[in-house]
Amino acid sequence: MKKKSFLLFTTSILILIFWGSCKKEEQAVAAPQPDNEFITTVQLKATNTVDATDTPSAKWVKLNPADTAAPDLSHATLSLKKNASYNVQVKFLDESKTPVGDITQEVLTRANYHLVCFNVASGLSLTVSPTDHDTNVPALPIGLSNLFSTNTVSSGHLEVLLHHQPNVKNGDCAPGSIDADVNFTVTIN
Amino acid sequence: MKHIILTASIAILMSGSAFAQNEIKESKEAHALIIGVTGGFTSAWGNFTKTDYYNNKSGFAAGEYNLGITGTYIIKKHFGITALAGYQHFGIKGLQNLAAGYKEDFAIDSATVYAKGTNYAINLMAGPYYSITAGKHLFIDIRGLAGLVNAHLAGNKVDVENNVASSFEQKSATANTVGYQLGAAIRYQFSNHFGVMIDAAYYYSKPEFTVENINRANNAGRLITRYNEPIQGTNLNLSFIYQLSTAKSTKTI
Repeated sequence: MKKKSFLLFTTSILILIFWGSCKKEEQAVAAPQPDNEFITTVQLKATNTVDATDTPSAKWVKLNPADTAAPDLSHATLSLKKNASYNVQVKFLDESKTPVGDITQEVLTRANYHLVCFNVASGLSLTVSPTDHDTNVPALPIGLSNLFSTNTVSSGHLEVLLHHQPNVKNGDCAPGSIDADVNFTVTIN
Repeated sequence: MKHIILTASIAILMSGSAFAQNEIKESKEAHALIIGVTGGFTSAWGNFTKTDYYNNKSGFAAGEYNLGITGTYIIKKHFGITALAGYQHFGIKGLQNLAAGYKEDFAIDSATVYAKGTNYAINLMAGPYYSITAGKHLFIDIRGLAGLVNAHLAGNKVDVENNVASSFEQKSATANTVGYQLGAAIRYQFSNHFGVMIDAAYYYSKPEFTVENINRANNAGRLITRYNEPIQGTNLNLSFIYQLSTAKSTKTI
């Protein structure tokens, strides 16, 4: 009788352990949602470091990103003086809505995984150095505030790219995806 | 499935008790060893069960179940010492909140969160036991337990827009601490050897986890490196007990 009782006892323990071991893999997905914000406008606002009255600017506009029409480049030329230095702010806006959306502030808030990169066309005598940094350790450049240094008289394209680098930002432009990619013309006189 | 297994285990033990009906004895012994198999529902509360992504005290744990083996040695008529080896399974909840939080914090199109391991605790405890006779076969048992708690905190892996390079992981963590349980039970003895018990117990421990994170390239999103919140709640259990008598004199009914 005792032997049978212990057998029943042991069996019940094993069943309960088996019951406890039944488990399923847990997973959750936050799915994509339609975008409700666009970058329609990119601005470059420059201030000469030795002449505060010298404040050239340029503006690239495409109000409907889905439109196949070319962007408005009528104000997309930045005129700089030779052998000069400029503090240049990059602004990203959504002008498709009222009031205008300030994407720049969002980029700044999320600076730890955003990076503005610049591609200077060969022949354009311009050097771009970012002056702002994020709170990563070590700190990495953001590229919303920059120092533009000009040299000789020249002109050419300046490509401005906003890179979105969630958990892959390392200071290089390569990782991640691109949120904005626009071209300005820069003239140095 | 779980209900079927639980029902089967109850049936097995009930049948075991039924076999013992023919040998009901009135025990007069001073000493007895009571071995129990216990299991039931575990509820949990406090920060450990919160699922707020933006609160680093949130533990994303769920109250689920517990299993255990108890041993009680009756020293005198009412007094004894009892010990417990138990497993508490808390499980995981709120992964959707984690996924939504990471999606928002990284401004990404989609985030997938996978649980790594689960939340559980293994308890090895002992303490005093007091039993009150409430009827011919009915007893009210009170116990206090204190001892070691080996707690396990679940981790998670986050896939950022299915980009392998940007995936990161919060590793599961283990911590040892001391904890306690306070409980009361109603015990029904079918015979001198078999009985069942319904008991409720409050449990508490506060392990301090050190959490390792893998591939956190940027300072963004929820990041847990240390977790030190109470694990507390109640167990509501059904126990099957087997009593080994060291009787000096017994009377067969």
